[in-house]
Amino acid sequence: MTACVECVENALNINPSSQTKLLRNLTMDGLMIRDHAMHLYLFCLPDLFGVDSVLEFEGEKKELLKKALSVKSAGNELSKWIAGRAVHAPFPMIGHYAKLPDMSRKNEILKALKTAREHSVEFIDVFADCKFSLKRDTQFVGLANESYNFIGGAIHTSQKTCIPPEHFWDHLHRIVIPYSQATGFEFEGQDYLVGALARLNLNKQNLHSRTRKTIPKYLATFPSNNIFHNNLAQAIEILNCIDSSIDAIESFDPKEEPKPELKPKASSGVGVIEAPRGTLYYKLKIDNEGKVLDANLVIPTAQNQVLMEKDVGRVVQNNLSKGKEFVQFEVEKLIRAYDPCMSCATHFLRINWL
Amino acid sequence: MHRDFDIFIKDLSKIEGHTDLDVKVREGKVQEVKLRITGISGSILKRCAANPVSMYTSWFQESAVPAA
Repeated sequence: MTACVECVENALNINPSSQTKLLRNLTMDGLMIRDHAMHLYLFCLPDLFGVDSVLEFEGEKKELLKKALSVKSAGNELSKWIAGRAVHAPFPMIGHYAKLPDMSRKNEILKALKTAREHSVEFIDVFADCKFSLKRDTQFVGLANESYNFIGGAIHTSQKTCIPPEHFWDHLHRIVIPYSQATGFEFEGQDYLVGALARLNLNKQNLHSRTRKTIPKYLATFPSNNIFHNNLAQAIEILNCIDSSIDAIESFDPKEEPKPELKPKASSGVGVIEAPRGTLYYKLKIDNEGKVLDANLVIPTAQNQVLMEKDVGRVVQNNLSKGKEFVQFEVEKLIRAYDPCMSCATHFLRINWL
Repeated sequence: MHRDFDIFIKDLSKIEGHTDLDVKVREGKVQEVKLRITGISGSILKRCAANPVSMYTSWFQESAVPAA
């Protein structure tokens, strides 16, 4: 949604106001908090405790689950407050927001975020203690900017390449994977990884100052080539989004603004953002009536698919002697660490042993 | 209602949905790993593999809810 809006704005030369940009950053913060929280606390956490599901949590772990839901709820409420709904939000529009947040809820939202902050730090401790490891040498790629926002900045890589977002496609090579409905990609002829681990590896120095002060010893972990540190990176991003959004909300005084005039014209535009799972590229070509003539989307999960498959092979090879059930669990943990869009489906992973 | 249409796998880039994994191990070595991202179950894909053109129409027919 955000990438699409940015794409059309670029096509039509619309510059959103600084207030709209702030609302958009808050929308992304809410998205990251609830999306990472769902993945980490509900899907990955049972792996850490050696159980199949959060429904098996008892005692202290059950208390942890309540805290997990509190963090996720804070992200949901932030999203609803700013963007109108947690999923498929209705307020973000091309060049503006259809409705401004109800400021009578400001203190309630801040209180929820501050409570969630305490819990999110506790979860960072939990994920930092995790000993899962699979090291992988690859390129890390992501959009980076001075505020650790998920919109704006340039595409950076761990090989010190820096390119404007609109040129991202020129550096990609599409790989057809005949048995999969998702195409894979190489960046300048090499495999690469996008997502929270890439972002932390490339841009940890620009995390919110409060976040950096709270968890300095964990930030020393990055840059890391352990794919399981993607979970820790997401846990840290939750804290960062909470800190960023608290600051933004405390000084926020929204005012009604005129809507930009939309005049469709034959043009094309590119929108690139950091989605929870990594860099998301949108290119649209539109005609004089505003109809889309051509669309090209590069989605994070598709970009990570090549590495995911290679690493599944390594995990299987490394654990062959331990039996099918063990291998299956290790593979599921690995796929969850990559956090592909179908990570929930991997709870029901079927391996066809040929 | 469109009764006749063709959809080919190359036209789609669906990510969300099911995943299947084929692992081939021979003599203690991983020979093949295929991680498949698909909205369609692997068993249906395998059955349709010999006739790719009918792949999706077969799936739609199998998935269709019978008329009341």
